Amino acid sequence: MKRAHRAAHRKLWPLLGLVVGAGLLLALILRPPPEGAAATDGGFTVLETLR
Amino acid sequence: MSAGFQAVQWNAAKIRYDAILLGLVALYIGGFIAVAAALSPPADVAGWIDLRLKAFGSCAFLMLSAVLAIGPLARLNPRFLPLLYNRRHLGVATFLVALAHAGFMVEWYILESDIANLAGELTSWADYLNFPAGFPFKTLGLIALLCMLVMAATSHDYWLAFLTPPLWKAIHMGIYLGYGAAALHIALGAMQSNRHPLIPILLFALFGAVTLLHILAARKAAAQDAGDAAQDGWLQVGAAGDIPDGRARIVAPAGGERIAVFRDGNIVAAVSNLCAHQNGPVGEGRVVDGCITCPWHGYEYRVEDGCAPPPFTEKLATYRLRLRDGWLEVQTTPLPPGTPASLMLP
Ligand code: HEM
Repeated sequence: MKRAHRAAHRKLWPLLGLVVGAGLLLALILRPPPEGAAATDGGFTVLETLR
Repeated sequence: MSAGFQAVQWNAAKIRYDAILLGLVALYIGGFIAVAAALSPPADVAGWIDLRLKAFGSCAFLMLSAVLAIGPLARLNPRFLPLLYNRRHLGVATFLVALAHAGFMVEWYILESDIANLAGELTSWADYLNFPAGFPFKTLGLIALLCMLVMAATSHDYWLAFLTPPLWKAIHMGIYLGYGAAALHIALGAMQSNRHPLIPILLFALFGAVTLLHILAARKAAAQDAGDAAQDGWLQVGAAGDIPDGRARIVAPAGGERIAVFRDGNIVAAVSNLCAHQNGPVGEGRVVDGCITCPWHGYEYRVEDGCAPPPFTEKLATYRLRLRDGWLEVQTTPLPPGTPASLMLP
């Protein structure tokens, strides 16, 4: 690889790692709770306990 | 070098590599589907399509991670060089697996008679603000697939010669963008709708490992690139006897391209470290039967003049060498490619 390519690599990867890494982390942190989790109590959904 | 078309030049090593590759892909996809179907059998046709979508999608991401890890691994440790030899076939195979994955999704929409909605999903602009769970993650998959398409379509040596290695390499760096898009495609798609802990664990581990390998390899190259100061256009190489027989010492003038100084018995010769094929590091190769052999794809150049042996026509720039007080020195201005410039040691 030419010197210019190596220089581009050196700048690109930390930037890509940071931007995509931040995206991945935010997507994990901000993920909505699984469906029905709010209404779940001890493994039974509210609907099931009413039935 | 001319840009004439030649079919892929098969040899025993390439056939073995491809056979192993095909076997591993079949094993992974077959194994994934068999295990998942045994654990929770799909209820209908849509369920089977979903299973294939998962098997091929995860296989494509694993393969893409492997494709991107091979380069830095080979730079950090020459033991990985054999993997680099046929990396392009792995790249094209990755594209085909990803294409099948996208195809299953189209099949699913056709089955549900909902194909019109697919375009609508990609163009519902307000949803792009709906981060993370409502984001149209399929667009990110499409971006990744398009990046891979460009790479696969220009992967043949015809395009390499036509575009020249520096431009070809620059275009092929687009795959990094594709990898980032693929990682986000999974984070905003499967990771939102499926709570299996393996999804974030594998995603973070693979993306993190590939990024770390690239950063480590770049750091190693930066140290070598710092270069040495030349005096009156001559750069010190060291004692000729210190260069192992059949190997090279790589030197770089400050701010310049690297020069590989080879020793073959009592002959020393300096050539550009950039292989004429893909700008691979010829100086990390060895001399075989009087020819410098590039470690990437085995391109050969005669020690005495940097010319590929007939019928091949590639040439490397050569450099003048001299001995001063027992020390070997190389002139930093290159000679025209193919100029005889080797030096006989006393
Ligand atoms: C046109 C391009 C693409 C489309 C339309 C597409 C579509 C999809 C869809 C609909 C899913 C299911 C998401 C869910 O379960 O909620 C999915 C999952 C996935 N896709 Fe893609 N995709 C594309 C390209 C790619 C590419 C290029 C890769 C990798 C290199 C990829 C890797 C994955 C992976 C790993 C999954 C998760 C599978 C799982 O749940 O185990 N996709 N994709």
